[in-house]
Amino acid sequence: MGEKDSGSGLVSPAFRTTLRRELDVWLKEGVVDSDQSAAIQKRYALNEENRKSGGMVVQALYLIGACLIGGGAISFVASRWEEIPIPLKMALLFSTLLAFEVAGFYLWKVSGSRRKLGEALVVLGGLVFGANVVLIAQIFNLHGEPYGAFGIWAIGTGVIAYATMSGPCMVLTCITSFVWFVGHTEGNPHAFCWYPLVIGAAGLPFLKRHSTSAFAGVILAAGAAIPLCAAFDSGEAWPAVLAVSVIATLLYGLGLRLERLESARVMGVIARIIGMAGILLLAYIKSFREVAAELTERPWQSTGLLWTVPLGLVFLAAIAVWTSVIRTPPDRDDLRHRSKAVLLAGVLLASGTLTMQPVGISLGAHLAVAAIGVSLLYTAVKVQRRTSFWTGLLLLAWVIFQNFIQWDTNLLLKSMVFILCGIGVILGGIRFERHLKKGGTDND
Amino acid sequence: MIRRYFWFAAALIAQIGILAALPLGRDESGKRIWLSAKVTNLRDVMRGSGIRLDYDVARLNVSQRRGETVYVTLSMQSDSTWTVEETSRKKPQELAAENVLIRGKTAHRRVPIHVLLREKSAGEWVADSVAIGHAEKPFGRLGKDETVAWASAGKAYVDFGIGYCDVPERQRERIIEDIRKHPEDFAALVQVDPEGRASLLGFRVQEREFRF
Repeated sequence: MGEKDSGSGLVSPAFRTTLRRELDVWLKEGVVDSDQSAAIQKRYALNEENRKSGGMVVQALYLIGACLIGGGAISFVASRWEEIPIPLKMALLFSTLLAFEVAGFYLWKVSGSRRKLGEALVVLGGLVFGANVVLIAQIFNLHGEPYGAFGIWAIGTGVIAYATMSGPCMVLTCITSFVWFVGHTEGNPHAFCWYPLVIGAAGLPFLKRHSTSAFAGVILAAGAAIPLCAAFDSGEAWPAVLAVSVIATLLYGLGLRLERLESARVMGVIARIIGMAGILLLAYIKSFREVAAELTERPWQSTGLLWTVPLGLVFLAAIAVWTSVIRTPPDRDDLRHRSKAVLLAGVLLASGTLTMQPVGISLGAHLAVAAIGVSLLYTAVKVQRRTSFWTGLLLLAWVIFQNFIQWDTNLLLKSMVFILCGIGVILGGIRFERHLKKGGTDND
Repeated sequence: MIRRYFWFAAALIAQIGILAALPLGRDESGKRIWLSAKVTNLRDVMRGSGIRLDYDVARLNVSQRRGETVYVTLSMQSDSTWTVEETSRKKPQELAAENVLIRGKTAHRRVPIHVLLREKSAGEWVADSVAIGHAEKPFGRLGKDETVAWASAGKAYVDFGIGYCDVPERQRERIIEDIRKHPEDFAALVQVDPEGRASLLGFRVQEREFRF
């Protein structure tokens, strides 16, 4: 384990603040001596944090001040915009763009005195570029599909992202290129879905540098593009739903694999969170019977079949990743158990969709949530983790609540079930809290 | 370090180049036509909003699925107004030289209908007048024997992407006054390119033109 793991990297700023305060008290009370205090301070980089948070406040003030001045300048120019001749308008637009990016580059890469502020200014430059595209279109009465402006914006932010290797600029590129892609695909629904491959390849240099923001941007853009392609190409909703379940399962597995690599741990956590969020969100949406019924309208009447290619590739990737996860399971107990539940949930969501029956789709969704809920409860008891226990309980309560809202059963029966569930939650909670006390401290 | 400067300078040049090249993409090959329209949000315009336009040629008689691309062929009448000759889902292969093809997407919206009811005798109400469209108090202050019934109707139309227009601040008052005096004499200047894409260049109220 490196130094980061031992203290400074994986604890929250709030923890550091509390620890710093407590350390002073311990020192006064003689709980720790000055050497031990210094060792703890070094381990958790408490002095560094103090300096950093002070710096962050100054940076925040710079940003807020810059935004206010910028807002005032924009309002002033806007009030006189119609009276300004076109060459002067163009000069204003170009100079604003250059001012943001050159100042940002200087602070970030040349002087290095205000690195974060410099990077923020470069990102703001990317936003200014987008605004310039729209304003120039307005000045010259350019017309076309609105998504075209996002395509141009994506190119502009892409070049500056590459030149500075800025992760947030790459995120902006992912967002703008994705909007362009949605507009383009709507007009060309049966074209091959090449966008995820291109955005993935474009993000590779950033991933090599372990840029977590760029990683999140790329997987979200590429991951959302495949279901959209499937929906547009097929003309049906279920291929998109199938794609989301496969992609979310793949991301969770990928997260587990990446977490094993010391240099890619944060990226692994991000992939795992996005994967879990995708599975739970999809299960939530599919658990409504009306949604499930809509999904089965006009099944197997796909107007195109190209969507099967990217989905097939994602499916193969999911198999490869999960085979690897099963062969070498995660070291952490809770993750080991939860990974099985997530895999089961993914399979249930996908197979539920393929039944093409509202009952099958809804049931698959409920079982998927229940599987994750039970695994959370199991691991909560096993590793004594309070958050997992209450999250698991919440998910199971959701499954029961959702079913009883949807199904038209006797009100008396509903009331009985709710009362029993309530009692169960209270008793379960009390028992778990006792178990925690008996077993020691909460791991959280 | 020099390499880093080089790539940053190259990126800036690329960005400026892209922006400078945008006006070159301006398509002047289209036709410019005047389409009669109605302003549907005059009250909002008074509060600082832009103008929302309801085009006569955008009305759809048949209810179609929302979001479908349609091509509307317009022909000019003897009184210089444009009317719909044909609406089709596919782009017509041939177009008469005097006609204009305009592309849009089918859309739906709810149009509120207010009916002013007046009590004729005890318990007997009669409809006095009808107001169609968004309005907070379409009949102003109501009398003691008056009330308003409200309903809405679905309306299918073609969205050509030219339904909204910003109003320059310094011309706002004059525009509002002109529209209020001559609501029926409003026409929008629209440029339509060979692919049927439309863009709004300005409008006129009676004989006064406003170009942006």
